[in-house]
Amino acid sequence: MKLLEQLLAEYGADVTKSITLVPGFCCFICGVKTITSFSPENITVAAGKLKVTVLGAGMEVGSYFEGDLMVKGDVRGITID
Amino acid sequence: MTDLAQISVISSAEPALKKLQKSKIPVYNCKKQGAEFIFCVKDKDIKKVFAIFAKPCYNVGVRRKSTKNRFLSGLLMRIGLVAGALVFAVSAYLSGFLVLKIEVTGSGGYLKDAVRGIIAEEGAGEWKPFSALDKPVASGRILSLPGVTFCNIQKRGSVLVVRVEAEPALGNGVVPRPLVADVSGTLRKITAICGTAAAEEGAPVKEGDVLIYAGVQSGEKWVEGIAAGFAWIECKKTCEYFAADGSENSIREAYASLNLQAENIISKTHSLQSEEGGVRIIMEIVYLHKISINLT
Repeated sequence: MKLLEQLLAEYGADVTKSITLVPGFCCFICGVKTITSFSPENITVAAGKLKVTVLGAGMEVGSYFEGDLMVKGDVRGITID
Repeated sequence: MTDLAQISVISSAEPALKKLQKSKIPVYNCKKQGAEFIFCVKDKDIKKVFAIFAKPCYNVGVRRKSTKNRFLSGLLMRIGLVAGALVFAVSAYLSGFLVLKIEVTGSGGYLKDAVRGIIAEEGAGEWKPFSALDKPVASGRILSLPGVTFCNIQKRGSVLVVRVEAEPALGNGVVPRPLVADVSGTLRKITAICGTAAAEEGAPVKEGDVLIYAGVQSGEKWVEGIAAGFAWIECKKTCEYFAADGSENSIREAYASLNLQAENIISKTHSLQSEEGGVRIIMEIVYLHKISINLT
């Protein structure tokens, strides 16, 4: 994880606004402003100017604090608008 | 053991999460169950959560206390049981740690009072920790008791078992009384292997005085035991011997009649006094008299 953060930082990416997806297990989103929609199949959040939707089944919020959100469950994909 | 309590609130998830984030409360394991929104917070945040959802419409409640709280309240509900278990554990620990009884076994059992005295002097005793006993010194002292051939000190549970083996013949020969002076004189040397010396070297002693007591002082307690040791008493003796003449042979015969060991005599002087039909030899002898008790 540290290596990934180091590489992203070297390329000039803002790691405080990153999304990490582990298919079928979880999705970790940094910089979440608010959760706009919450259901076991669909969790939508506002992250900066983006609207991120996590799609899957049996999903729940594993932890949520200070803009860091972890979605647990059978995560199948995300859409960014 | 986690400190996460599960809370349920009648609300939709989105505004509830917004309120919680606004109050900077970390939330975990959020899920929807019908009209209920269920989530977990740390114990320290429960009051804040109730304050946020204070309005009756939210119908907030704790669904499940944290493992830590459940454990503590379980303990409180069974305080008697917990106290009993603690008392039992402490008693079990102390009984293994303390000596509650001292047993002297083996053929040297007749020395039990002396052995107990030594054990007490070396730090162990009833209701005292076993670790306080200086085992090597105690073993050494027990082995120096008259006739003792083997000594083993062991702790079995809360019982301190001292196995003492002694020469079988001595068991019956032990005299359970103090060493008493059988002559008057000056005490020149005293050695108490067992028991307590009652007089100092150089002190005058009279016939019948106790020289070694059969016991030892242990703190404020007197522990009965046996006396074992010896003493040398310097004695003076004036004797008369009647001989036909004052020749050297007569004088030698006169000294021989005293039946004293040559090495015990410190000094001897004599004077001759003429009598009708012979000579009276008056001898003044200073000698060492040895007495002992319970020594092989």
